[in-house]
Formats: sequence, C-alpha cells, structure tokens
Amino acid sequence: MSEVIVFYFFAAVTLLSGLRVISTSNPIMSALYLVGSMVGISGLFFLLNAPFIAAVQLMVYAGAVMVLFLFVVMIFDTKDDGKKGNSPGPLVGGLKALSIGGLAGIFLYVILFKISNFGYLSPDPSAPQFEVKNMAKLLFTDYMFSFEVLGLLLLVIPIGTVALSRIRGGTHAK
Amino acid sequence: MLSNLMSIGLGHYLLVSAMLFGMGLWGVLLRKNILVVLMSIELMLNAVNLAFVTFGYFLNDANGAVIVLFVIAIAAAEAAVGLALIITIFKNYKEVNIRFLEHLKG
Amino acid sequence: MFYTLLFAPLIGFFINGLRFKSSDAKVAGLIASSALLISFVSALGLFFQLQGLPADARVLNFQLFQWIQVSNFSADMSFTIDSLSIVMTLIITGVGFLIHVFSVGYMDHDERPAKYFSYLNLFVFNMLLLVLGSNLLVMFVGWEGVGLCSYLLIGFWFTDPAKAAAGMKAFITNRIGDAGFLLGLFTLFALYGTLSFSEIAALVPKEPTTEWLSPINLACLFLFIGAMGKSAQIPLYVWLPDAMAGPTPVSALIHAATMVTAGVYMIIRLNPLFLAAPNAMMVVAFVGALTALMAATIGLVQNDIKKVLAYSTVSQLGYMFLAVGVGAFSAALAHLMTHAFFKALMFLGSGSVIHAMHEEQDMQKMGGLRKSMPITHMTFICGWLAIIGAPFFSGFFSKDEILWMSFHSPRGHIVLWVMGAVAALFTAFYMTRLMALTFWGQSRVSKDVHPHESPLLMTFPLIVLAVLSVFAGWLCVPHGLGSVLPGHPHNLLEEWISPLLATFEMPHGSLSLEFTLMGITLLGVTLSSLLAIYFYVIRPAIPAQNAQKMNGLYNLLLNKYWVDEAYFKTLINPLVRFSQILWEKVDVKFIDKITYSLSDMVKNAGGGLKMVQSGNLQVYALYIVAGLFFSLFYLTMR
Repeated sequence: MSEVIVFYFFAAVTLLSGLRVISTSNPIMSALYLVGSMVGISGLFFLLNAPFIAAVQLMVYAGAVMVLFLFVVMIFDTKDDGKKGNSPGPLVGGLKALSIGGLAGIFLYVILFKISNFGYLSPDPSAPQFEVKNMAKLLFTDYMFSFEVLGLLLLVIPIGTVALSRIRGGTHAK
Repeated sequence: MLSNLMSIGLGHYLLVSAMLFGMGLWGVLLRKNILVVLMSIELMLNAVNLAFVTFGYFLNDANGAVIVLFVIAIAAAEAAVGLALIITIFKNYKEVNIRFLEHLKG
Repeated sequence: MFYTLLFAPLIGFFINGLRFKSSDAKVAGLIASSALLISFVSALGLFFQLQGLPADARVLNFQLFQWIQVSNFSADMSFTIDSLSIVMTLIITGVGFLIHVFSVGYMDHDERPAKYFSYLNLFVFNMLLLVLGSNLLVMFVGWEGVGLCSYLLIGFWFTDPAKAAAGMKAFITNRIGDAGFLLGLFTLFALYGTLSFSEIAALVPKEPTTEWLSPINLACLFLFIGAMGKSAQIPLYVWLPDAMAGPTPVSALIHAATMVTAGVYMIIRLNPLFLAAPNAMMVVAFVGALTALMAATIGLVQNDIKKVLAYSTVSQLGYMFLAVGVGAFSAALAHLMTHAFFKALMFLGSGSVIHAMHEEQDMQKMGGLRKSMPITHMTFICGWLAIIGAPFFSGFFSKDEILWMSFHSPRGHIVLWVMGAVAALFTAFYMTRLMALTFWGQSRVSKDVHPHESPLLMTFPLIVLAVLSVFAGWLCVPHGLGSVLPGHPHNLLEEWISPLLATFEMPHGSLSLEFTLMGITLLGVTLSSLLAIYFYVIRPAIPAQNAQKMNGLYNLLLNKYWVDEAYFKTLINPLVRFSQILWEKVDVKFIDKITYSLSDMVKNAGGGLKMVQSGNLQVYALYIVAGLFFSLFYLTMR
C-alpha cells in the first residue's frame, strides 16, 4: 500500500516537473524543474529496487550535468526582446503537435492493449539483480569493451569541449 | 479500473516513461530557446532510463541497469559538448533563439 | 616532275598561309610567283615529254593513293597528263604566273597581301586538280575547291558588306550548279558503275540516243547544269558581274582565264558521252548562243569598266559552249586558249588603269588615257583587236571557227550562227566603246587624279599577254583558212588533241560558203566598231541622246534585264521568309521548348527538393519523429 502511494507521489513529482520544464519561459526555472524531474525519477528508481542507479542518477545527472546546464544558462542574457525569428508557420506547428500526439497514441495503445494484464508480473523484490556486485560482474565481462570505450569517451569529451570554447591566447589574451 | 490503480505494475511505470518522453519531444520540437531544447533532450533520456530499469526489474534482468549506467555517462558527455557548442554559437551570433539559427538553409 | 607541278602551288599556299598577317607584298608575291614558275616549268617539261611519245599514246598516268574502294566501285586519287590536260595546265600555270607577277604590283598597298597570295596559290592547286584528275571525283574535288577559292578571293575585302555579299552570291550560285553536277555523277555511276574518264569513254555506246529521258541524256544535262554554275551561263551567270568586287587580278585569273573555263573543259573531256546525247548537246548549244547574245546586249550600256569585261566574259563563254554544243571541241578549246590570253590581258590592263586612276572604275570619268598610259594602251589595243576578231589576231581564228561550225556542223543550225554573229557585232561595238571611253577622245578625268603608267611589274605581264593575244591564233588556224594562206598552216591544236576526241563525222564544207559567212561577220564587225568610234570619239553627245530616245530599252539593258531583282523576288525572298518561319515557329517555339521544358523540369524538381532543407533544426527533428511514428505504426499495427 505504501508502495502505491510513494509511486504516485514520485510519479506526480516527475510528471509535473517535466511539464513545467517545457512550459516555463524562463530557462533558469526550466533547468530547476528539470532537476526536480530527475529527483522524481531517482525516487522511482528506488522503488524499482535499484538503489545504485538511483544514487548515480542523483549524483551525476542531477548533481553534475544540471549544474553544468545552470552555469551555461546563467551566462546567457535571455530576455525575451520580442524578436520573432523565422517561425515556420502554423502548418508545421500543427504537424509537430500531431506527430507527438500520434507517437503518444501509439505508446498508449501498446501499453494499454498490448501488454497482457497490464503487466502484472511478479518480480522478486529481494532478488539481487540490481546489486552492485551483479552489475559489476556484467560490466567487466559482457560490457567490457563498451566500458573501456566509455572511459575513452570521457577523456575525449573535456578535451573537445575545451577546444571548442577556448579563447585564443589563453588567459593573457587581450 | 480501480484495481488497476491500486496495484502498481509494468504498465504504470511505462506510462510514466511514455508521458515523460512525450513531454521531452514536445520541448524539442516546439520551444524557441536552444537551451530548453537541450534540456528536453535530457528529459527524453531520463524517460528512457526509467523504461530500461523498469524492464530490468520486472524481467529480473540486470542488463537494464547496466545500460542505464552507460546512458547516463554518455548523456553527460553529450550535454557537455552540446553546451560548449552553444557557447560558441552564442559568441558568434549573439542569439539563443533557434529560429534565428537557420544558416544551413537551402 | 608531275609532283612539282601539282604541289608547288600547294606548298606556296601553306607558306603564305602561315604568314597571312604579313603586309609585305613583295615577299609574299615572290613566294607565290616562284611556286607558279616551278609549276609552269614542270608543265613545259611534261609537255616535251608528251611530245616525245607517239601520237596515239600521249598519256602519262600518275596515282597518288587509292582513295575509294567500295565493292565494285573504285576511284583513286590519280591524275592523267594527256594532250588536253597539258594544254589546260600550260594555260593555267603560264597565265597564272603572269597574273601573280602583276598582283605583286597591284596589291602593294593592301593590308594582307600574303593572305591574297596564299588564296591564289590554293586556287591554282585546285584548278590543277580539276584538269589533271583522271576521274570525275578528283575533278569534283578541284571543282569545289576552285569554287571555294573564288568565294575567298571575291570576298577578299570582306569588311565591305557588298563585297562579302558578292562572294556569297558566287558561292551559292556555284553550289546550285554543283547540285546538278552531283546528280550527273550519280546518274553516270548508276549507268556505268565507274567515274573514270577512260572507262566511261569505253563504255559509252557509239550510237547516239535521241530519247530525252535516257540516262545518258539526263547525265549530260545534269553535268551541264554544273557547267552552267561554274562557267556562268544562263540562268546561273548572275554571280560573275558581281564577282568584279574582288581584286582585278583575281578577275583576270579566275573569271576570265581559268575557273570559268572548267565547265567547257569538262564537256570537252567527256566528249564521247556528250556526243552520244545529241539532245543535251542541242541544249548546250542554244544556252551558249543565247548567253553570248544576252550578255553582249547588257555589256553595251554598262559604265563600269570591269562590268563590261565581265559581261564580255559571260558572252565569250557562251561562244565556247556553243562550240561544244555543235561538236566543235577543238574550236572550243582554241577559243578557250585565246580568250584566256586576251581576256586576262584586258582585265590586267583594266587593273592597271584602275590602279592609276586611284580605284576609279567608272568609264565616264576616264578618257584620253592613251597619253598617260602608253604601254597599257598599246597592250589593250592588242586585246581589243583579238576579241573583236580583227583578221589574223588570235580571236579571229578561234571565233570564226566557232561561227563556221555552228552553221556547218551536223548538230548546228543557222539560228545558232545568226545569234553568234549578232553577238559578235555587239562584242565589237562594246569593246570599241570601252576603248574609246577609256583611252581615246577627250579626257574626262577629274582634276585631282593624275594617272601615270604602271610599274614594270605590272606592265611586263601585259606585254607578254599582248604578244600571246596577237600570235597565239596561229596555233589553231581553221582548215578553210589554212588551205588558202601561204605556207598552209595546219590547225596544230586540233591535231594535238584529236586522239582524245571521239569520232564525229564532220562533212566537208564548201570553202566559198565559209568565206562568205566570214566576210559577212567581218563586215559587220568593222561597221560596228566604226559606229562605236563615231559615237564615242567623234560625236560624244550622241549616245546620251540615243539613251534618252530609247529610254525603255536603255533602262532594260542598264539594269541587266532586272534578272537579279527577279531572282530575289521569286526565289530568294520566299526562301528566306520560309527559313525565317521555320526558325521562329519550329525551332524556337517547338524544339527549343521541348529541350527547355526538360531542363526546367529538372531544375524545378531540384527546387522542390530544396524546400526540405529548411535550416530549421526542429523541422529536422520533426522528420525524425514522423519517421519514428510511421515505423512504429507499421510495427504495431501489422
């Protein structure tokens, strides 16, 4: 019972925050709501018996990535000065909404009608599938190559980022 | 109907995931500010993470979580590079309104 | 020796052609004239070589290479030096050499003399191809080549649109004739399967055919159409008077001595063929006589000295065709030779006059030039006496032979003689008129022109040609005259080429009849010359009064019977209009439209596809989402 309430609570947090992400005009608020959404998802992860993933989500995603986002958002002076830009028109806007609606419709259809019994499977909540030991075993055997490549990627990314946004002449530039 | 609401199953989590994904898609397609677009992409990635872990839990498979680990790492990397690019664009064009950035037209 | 004969002019063409921008007339002229001198000396050498051969085997054959070989038909690039072609070659190279020397003096002020001399050499080369070819195809190559060079030389000063138009007129009229020539070639090929002269001569039936539509007759008529174009007979003569727009030595060489005689040469060469088609010969004779008469009438009233000479050329060519038409081939060749000498002489003389008068060509502004240009005057007198047929000058022998033959030959007719005789009277009149207006009488030269005698380079050829005009006639003394003259001179020319002529029975004529006719002509010629002297020297006012009294006739003749205007109205303008309609309606509106619509389709397709790339990131994301939607739709609804 408590599970149900907790689920609904975290689901509401996630969904409402997600809604506010895309509807606020202020990008800083948008970023903050995204953090909220991520916290909600982290809670859902806890419910799904994956504490490690939940912690990683909170630390890396909500903690590091969103802080990065907030830094960049705060650099920009985002006042809405009313310049319209090249709006593609109502036809395209309508098509966009339509396609999103269509996609959502397909998801709903699949979820509601194709998953038999609405998916009342009986998972074993005490099964140690999301324990760190199991995950590490998988990580270092089946996913070994991907793991190493990921390390390489994490090396290349900061180099690339610095290369993209540096100022010639370093800190002594005029 | 009420029984559906009372006990939580696969479908509930998937519904949450689907709705989050739809919201993220909405943000990508329809927001003007390029930073909000990027954030919506993150939202979509989160929704997908949720779906992965859900399936992992209900199918007793740890692969789901491992994949989520990778996705989180890569999403972080991609966000970093994307933000660096946005900074460069802003330095050149002084604009974060995506509607002005149609330089590749034609 | 043959190769130097044929290729020296070609090499001269290349050398001068490569330096066509040069404006040094002396160097260019030296190159060109030396080339022709080499050719002439080679021709002399070949002539003596031929003389050494027995009379019935006077043939030298040369083959350059095998040209066309298609199943049964073969035509080689081969050449024949026989008695007929050596006569033509000597004329071409000899007179050509003199004209080249004259041109050095005439073209000394010109901008591009090297180009001129290269064209002249190319012309001589092509003319040699024409006369030396041993089959009709090689002859046709030369035929076309001389037409081309004629066009190039007539339109030499092409920056003047009138002169360029004259060149085009010559070429196009020539081409119409060439179409006929080609039809003749096709007919001959269909008939005999060969185009070689010797083979045709062997295959022609001995019995003449009187059927108008028989292939032989048609072939001869078609070939004569070609001759009409090249040798300026009615109705294709209209280019020759206009061709006077070119430099005067060109008129002398091409339009007096050589190119225009190509038609006559062709018929003499194919005499077995023509003899087997009497209807065609009749047509040739009548057209020739009519041309001789009509051109003479036009020449009576022309005021441009070169135009008078041009119409005179047309008229004399008519005499040559009259001769071949009645079967008097050697007479035609004789007249060809003497005409080459005296007409080239007179053209060069007129060139000398024009040069001295600073390019003035209107005879009404000349007069009394005998005092200031004595050598030109003397040589011109020789030419004048030759052309009117003054006794024992060269023209006398050849023209009287033709007139006699037109009366006496089995294929002749008295009407032909009458036309020829009247044309001779007119010839005497207008040539005397030319002399009177130009050299005799009072001077009407304008005050700022000081005519003087031309330099030696120009007078030397005049003198040589004058000597030839006076004495060349003794090579072709007709039989009748030869029998009564002391020493009984033979008709050397006729004896020289008789092995090449097919048998054509010419009955013996009565000498008294021949001398009577000769006497009538001589009397008429003398009277008309005296009349011309009276009109133009003694009482110069009379011609103007006569012109006013016979205004209609005078205008008709002065405007050349309005033939050119008629051609324009009936043929040329409708054709141009038709081409214009074809261009506007068919080419621009229809064909171009098809090609443009194809390209427009492609362009528009590209333009349409371009719209996909809007530059808007979110639209691109939309494409992805749409694709995702459709693929998921397909997967779930399957």
